[in-house]
Amino acid sequence: MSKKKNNVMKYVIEVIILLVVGVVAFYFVSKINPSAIQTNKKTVTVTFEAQDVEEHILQKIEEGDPVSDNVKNTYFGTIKSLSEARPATRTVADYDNQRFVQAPVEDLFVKDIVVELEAEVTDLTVMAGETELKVGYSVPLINEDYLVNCTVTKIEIAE
Amino acid sequence: MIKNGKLFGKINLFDLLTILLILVLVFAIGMKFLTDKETKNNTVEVTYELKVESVRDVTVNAIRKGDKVYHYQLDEVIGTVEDVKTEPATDPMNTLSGEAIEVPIEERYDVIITVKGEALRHSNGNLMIGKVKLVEGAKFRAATLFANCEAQVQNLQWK
Repeated sequence: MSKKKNNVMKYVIEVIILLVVGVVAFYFVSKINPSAIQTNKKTVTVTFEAQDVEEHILQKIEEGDPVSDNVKNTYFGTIKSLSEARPATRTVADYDNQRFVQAPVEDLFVKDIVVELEAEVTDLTVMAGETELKVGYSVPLINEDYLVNCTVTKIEIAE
Repeated sequence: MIKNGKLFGKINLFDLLTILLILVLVFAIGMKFLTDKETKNNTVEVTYELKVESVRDVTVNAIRKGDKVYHYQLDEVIGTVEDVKTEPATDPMNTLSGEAIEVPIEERYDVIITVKGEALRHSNGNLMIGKVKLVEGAKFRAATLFANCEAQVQNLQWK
């Protein structure tokens, strides 16, 4: 076989190998991190329930405050709205009536903090930067004036 | 061994690699075809319930009909939410008279999520959805777009 033909074969094999490597790499990347392949950024409104907050901290939380996730360092955005403060509660045994009740805790409060943020949305996950958002997840919200431990209680995706 | 691009001075190395590559591709496509055929023959429709215990109303509201359900640890979609029902959550209480009785918990709910999906029925009777073995009593973290809860499989049916 001529040298020229050998070179052509060599290039064909190289191209095939590169294609196979590319397809395999794409498959694995899309499996491990689908958002790396397909981005679907949407505006998401998230309600964080600040829990067991003392009154002096409660007074510092205001609409327009910039807030971040203290664990993942994700900047979420500014606070869009706030609810009235409610007493924090604990599940306790009511022996007289034979049931467990939600009893208020003295001097501790809960407050809903609503934040509008940009997130990657798939049909399985909502990711704000490195922070995965699902109802019930604990997210410590931090601002330069306060840190409050929150639980996600509502997620709404803008159409 | 290799002389002028020829193995043992006789077989062209590039031709050999091309033939090997083609054989591997043909084998891979053949295996895929056979596996798909086998998969199609053993695929059954499964309906089962996931029981989530003692959660707040915010979690109940986060589980929506039509959402995909996935095994959180194994990252495997295991069906779609067909129905969501709630009942008051209960917990054992040790009474002052020395009894242990099941009593309701205020503002907490047990959620019964009906899930429909497709599973592979193996020759040993196992029902598998990807890497997830579906069996009565199995407990795992089941997630939807907005929720993630510890859930237990019950009322598993297939046809």
